[in-house]
Amino acid sequence: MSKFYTFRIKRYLPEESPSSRWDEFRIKLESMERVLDGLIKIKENLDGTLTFRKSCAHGVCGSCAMKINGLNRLACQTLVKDLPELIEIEPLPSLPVIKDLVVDMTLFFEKNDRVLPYLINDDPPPERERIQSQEDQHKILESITCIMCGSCTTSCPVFWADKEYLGPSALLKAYRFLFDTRDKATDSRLERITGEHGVWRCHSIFNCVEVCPKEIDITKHILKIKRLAVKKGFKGGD
Amino acid sequence: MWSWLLHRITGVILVFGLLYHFILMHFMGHNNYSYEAVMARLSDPWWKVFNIIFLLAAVYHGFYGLNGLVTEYIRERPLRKLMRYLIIIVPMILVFFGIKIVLFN
Repeated sequence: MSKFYTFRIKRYLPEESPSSRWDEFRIKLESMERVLDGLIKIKENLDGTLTFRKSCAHGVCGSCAMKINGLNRLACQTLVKDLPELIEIEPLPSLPVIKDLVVDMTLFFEKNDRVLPYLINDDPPPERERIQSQEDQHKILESITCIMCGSCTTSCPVFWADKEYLGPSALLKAYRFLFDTRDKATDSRLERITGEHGVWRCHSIFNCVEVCPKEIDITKHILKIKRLAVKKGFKGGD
Repeated sequence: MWSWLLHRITGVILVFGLLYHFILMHFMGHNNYSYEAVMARLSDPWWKVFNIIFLLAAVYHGFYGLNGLVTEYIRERPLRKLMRYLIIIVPMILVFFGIKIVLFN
């Protein structure tokens, strides 16, 4: 069953105007089509200047995260039938907008780099891979499903106010390695995330959990990091 | 970390302390705060200990929360510094007068 939808999109075209404006497009979509399909149709048929990021279109790459009817979510994962007839689309909040729905993610990835997002283990490598038991795998399984779309960090009120805060995404990444039994850099990683703008700034607001397209309980993971830091007696920050 | 942990601990103290305070002050009938009852309570050393712990917990918890707000929302360095000093000095004044009232009234 197809239906007409109105896409109200926040536009920012720096070469045309220094301020942003709202444009409305009316298009017909099948009920099983997604917001991303609508955006592609608009770009192909109505306004070729409309700019947004997309890549896989199947909820794996995390490129098309945007604010749809007030919630950060993936355009490729949001069916239009689940939305009202008027669909309001904005870029992810609190990051600098480059054009239309494309935001500058530099700050987001800088924070990710700060938690040493790679396996650190100086033991001589075994002949084949470093074996991990199923139980150990389950400890980090949920955090591994993160696709780094940026929905969580840009939905976090602490991040809106304090741009130095690491944010839920980077902390989740830290969790992924802190609780990986093959990783040996627990202390240096904890030292990097327990500063003034680190893990203690999380006030369990749960916005990140609400928007995560992979349904990861991010706040729970951050709380586990806090508990680990307390157990290990980390003094940094306040 | 210690400041954060203490924030959690004082939070727990406040939950039980407030519960006790409310039951005692608001649900125990009117003769509970007649002059004699209040004077008897005030001279009880355990009552004093409870009140001082309650006071310290409340003041610490509240001002640590304010410290968080200052850290996150105040970007101007000098103002932030001033607020940080106030967040240490004001609670100390409050605690001083609070303890004075509990112990020497």
